[in-house]
Amino acid sequence: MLKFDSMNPDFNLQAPPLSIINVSKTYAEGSVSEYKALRGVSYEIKTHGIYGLIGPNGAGKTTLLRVISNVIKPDSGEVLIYGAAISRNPLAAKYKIGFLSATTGLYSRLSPRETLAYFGRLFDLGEEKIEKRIGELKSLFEMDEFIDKKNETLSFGQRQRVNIARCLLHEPEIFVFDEITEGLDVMSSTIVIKFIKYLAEIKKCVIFSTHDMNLAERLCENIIILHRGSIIQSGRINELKYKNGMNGRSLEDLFMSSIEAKGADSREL
Amino acid sequence: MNYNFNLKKTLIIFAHELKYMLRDRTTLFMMVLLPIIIYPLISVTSAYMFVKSSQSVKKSKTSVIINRDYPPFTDSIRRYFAKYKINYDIKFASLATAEIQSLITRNELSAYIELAKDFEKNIQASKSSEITLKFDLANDKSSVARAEVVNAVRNYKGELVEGNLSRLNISETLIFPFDINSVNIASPSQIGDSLLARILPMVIIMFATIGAFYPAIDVTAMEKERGTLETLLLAPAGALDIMFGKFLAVFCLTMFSIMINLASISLTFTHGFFIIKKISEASRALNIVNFSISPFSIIAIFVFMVPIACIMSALMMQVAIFARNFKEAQNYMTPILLVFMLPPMVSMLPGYSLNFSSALVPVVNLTLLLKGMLLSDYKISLALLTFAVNIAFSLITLVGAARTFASENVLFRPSEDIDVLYFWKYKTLKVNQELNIVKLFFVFQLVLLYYAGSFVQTFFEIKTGLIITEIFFIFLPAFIFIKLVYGNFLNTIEFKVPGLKTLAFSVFVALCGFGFTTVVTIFQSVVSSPPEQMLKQLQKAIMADSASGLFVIAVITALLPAICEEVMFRGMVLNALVKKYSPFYSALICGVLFGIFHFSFYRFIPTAVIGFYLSMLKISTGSILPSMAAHFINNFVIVVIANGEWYLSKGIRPPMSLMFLIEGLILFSFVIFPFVIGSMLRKAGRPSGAAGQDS
Repeated sequence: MLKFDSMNPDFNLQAPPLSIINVSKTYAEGSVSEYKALRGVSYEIKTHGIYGLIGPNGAGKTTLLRVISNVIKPDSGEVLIYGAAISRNPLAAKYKIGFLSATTGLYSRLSPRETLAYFGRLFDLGEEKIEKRIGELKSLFEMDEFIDKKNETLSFGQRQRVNIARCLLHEPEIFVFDEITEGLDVMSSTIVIKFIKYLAEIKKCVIFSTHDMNLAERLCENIIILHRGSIIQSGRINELKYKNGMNGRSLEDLFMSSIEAKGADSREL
Repeated sequence: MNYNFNLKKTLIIFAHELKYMLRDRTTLFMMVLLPIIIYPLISVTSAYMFVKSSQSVKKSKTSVIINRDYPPFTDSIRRYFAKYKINYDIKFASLATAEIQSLITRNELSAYIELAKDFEKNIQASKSSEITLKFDLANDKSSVARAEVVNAVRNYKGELVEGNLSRLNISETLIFPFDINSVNIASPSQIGDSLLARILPMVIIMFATIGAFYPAIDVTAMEKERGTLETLLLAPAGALDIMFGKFLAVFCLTMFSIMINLASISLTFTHGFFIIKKISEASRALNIVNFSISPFSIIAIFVFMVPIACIMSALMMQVAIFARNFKEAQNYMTPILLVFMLPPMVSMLPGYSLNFSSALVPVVNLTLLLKGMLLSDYKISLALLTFAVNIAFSLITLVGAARTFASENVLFRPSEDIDVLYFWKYKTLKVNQELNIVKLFFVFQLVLLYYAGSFVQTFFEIKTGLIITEIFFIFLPAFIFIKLVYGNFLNTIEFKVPGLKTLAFSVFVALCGFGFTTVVTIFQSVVSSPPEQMLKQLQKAIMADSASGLFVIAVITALLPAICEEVMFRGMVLNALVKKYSPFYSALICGVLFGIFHFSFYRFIPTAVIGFYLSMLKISTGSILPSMAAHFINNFVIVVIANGEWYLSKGIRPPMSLMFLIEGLILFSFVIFPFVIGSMLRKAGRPSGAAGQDS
């Protein structure tokens, strides 16, 4: 995956794939509706693997994932991708990131092939390369039968596959998924889970948020618990359980006890 | 904000958007099919119907009844009808009015001629007599018959006079010294041009608006509704590339729509009517009109539409990007549609032509220019000015759209899932929700005031009307609203007794504000003088005939508004505004709303200024009483001065020194007013404890 790095000399493949340094984000600052979504979040992803981001509603998960993928800008702090600050060269960082969320949709009047071609052009892939990637992704996600149909005629599962293919198209290193299994039936979520596992096998970084503790426990080695805009626990699941004296208990128990402990604290603040 | 511009990415997005929109059936229908079908259909059928119906009225055989046969008269009428090929049966019967009516409604009769008793005898004896003609003007055939029967009877009268004169050997010219001939010197194509000049600019702009409407929503709000905006923002394209690519697509489609409309409309007018003329040779009305549009005018219209299409596209996109879905976008766009659809109506009005000041108003200037161009009556300098003004506006709207696109707050607007219509059900409101409710209520009160207020003021005497309006349409709704939403009335409006120093300061602010608005009003009256009607109305309201009358008027026009309007604006509206916006912006918005509330174009700027400084006064002092006091003083001074002016007009003059002093003071306060505002701003800037709370 060295070909993009000739374009972006800032990247250093020896550096950690993703470093989040003291990131804060406040919405509607200065008014009474002011809302601190992130309060000085720091985290480093040192190697490839699956990282689960969990936390109650309003904890700041979506905001954090959007900051990482450079859709919104933090008020303070910095995100580094392979050692390069995304604020310095925001467009370059986008080549390294693949993002997908539960609300991600498709252009209904385009076919999957046209969708992929459009994004391929936006990612400067070149027509030949686009052709080749579409061929690869078509066979990987079994899209032969519907690759030239209009997106609006596709089933939910088929759309999901197109979205995932779009996300993989430019061969990013870091995948950011925001609650992508939310509201999916068993079949569709199985596709997604297989996909996430596949990404880990080919040594990519996956950071995904979810409400599903069982899923997180099954998929991730590492977990990040976000609460009221701050990381309250992070690390390998087993180590965290051991540290909190919850060996043999589920991730859900660990999550609940961490939240409750913090909840009491923040009421005093 | 990243303002790097990448042409390649812009073109990729442009190509995508264009392709994507052209695949939409609604867009295609509105843009291509509608103009191609609608003009020929509407114009040809309506013209055809018009010709047909006028023919059918003429063709169908009806009758004229005369109460009795007097051969010289009847023969003359018959000769007249034969000469002009008017196909009426002439019958004889004596009828009562009711019978005539029933015959006319049954289409058996068109006109009734009643010769007076002894008509024959009087005519022969050259005595005066009478003919009565009866018609039913509510009936089409009868009203068509009217002109013809009247002319036939006049013709008989002429024949009689001629006969009498020749018998007396008198020259005809003694009685008919001259004939009146009205000749239409306009060529058929000139009449056609004048018709076209009225219709074409309006239709072109209207359809351009419709042409831009769907594409503008498609590239913005629909992108959010589909859930594709996020993926687009994740692609390595800057906000400027995305916005500009989308803009180009909307712009191209708008221009395309203009082109199709222009082609369709000119073909319809030049060739469509030609076909109808062939169909009905008899139609005199259509033969005097001849439509022709020179290729030069078509190219000129097209070129001049470029900046307008640019303004439309950019403005519509900027508004539609705020919406989260198609439906919301449609709601937001309605005012924009009106902005573009109403000015072109000006071109329909006779007598309006392009001049220096109207050339400065975008859209309006173009409709007037196009009208002038089609009539070959325009100045090159004004045409260039129009073009330059529209280009300037289009650049402004483009920059505005680019800024909006770069704002993540706009792109990721959170959903407000509260139903504002049921606000009282919610115990705690978020600021945005509260603001929306207040906005909604403000609009409600505006509508109430407009209809009920104007009704009351015409129904009652003006002073009684003012009292009812202030208490029942301004104070009471605001009071009920505050009670329902916030509970405690006095706390909410911040009814706190201020210190003497603060009160003195508010009097000072009011006087400075009065000086400032006076100068503003004078400036404004130089630019355009206020309508007489309004001045009279105002005078009637504030003129006193005695000292006690002055007191009553002071209560009605100064004290009452000071309390009622302050409760509504500085109590209800400003209260919600300051929670979201900075003091300056809150006061500005509140001022503009206050200006709108006075329902007068000429009073807008002065009242908005007053609203602004009253709001600043409330924010900086933290109490509503200073703004009430200032409001009272402002209105009171106006009453006093207006009454003073009345004495002046009666010839009672105060000493010159006093006049100079007053004028000097007004000028002085005009100069000092900005500094007063500045000092209030600094005071308001200090933390008052309301900011920094977590919701």
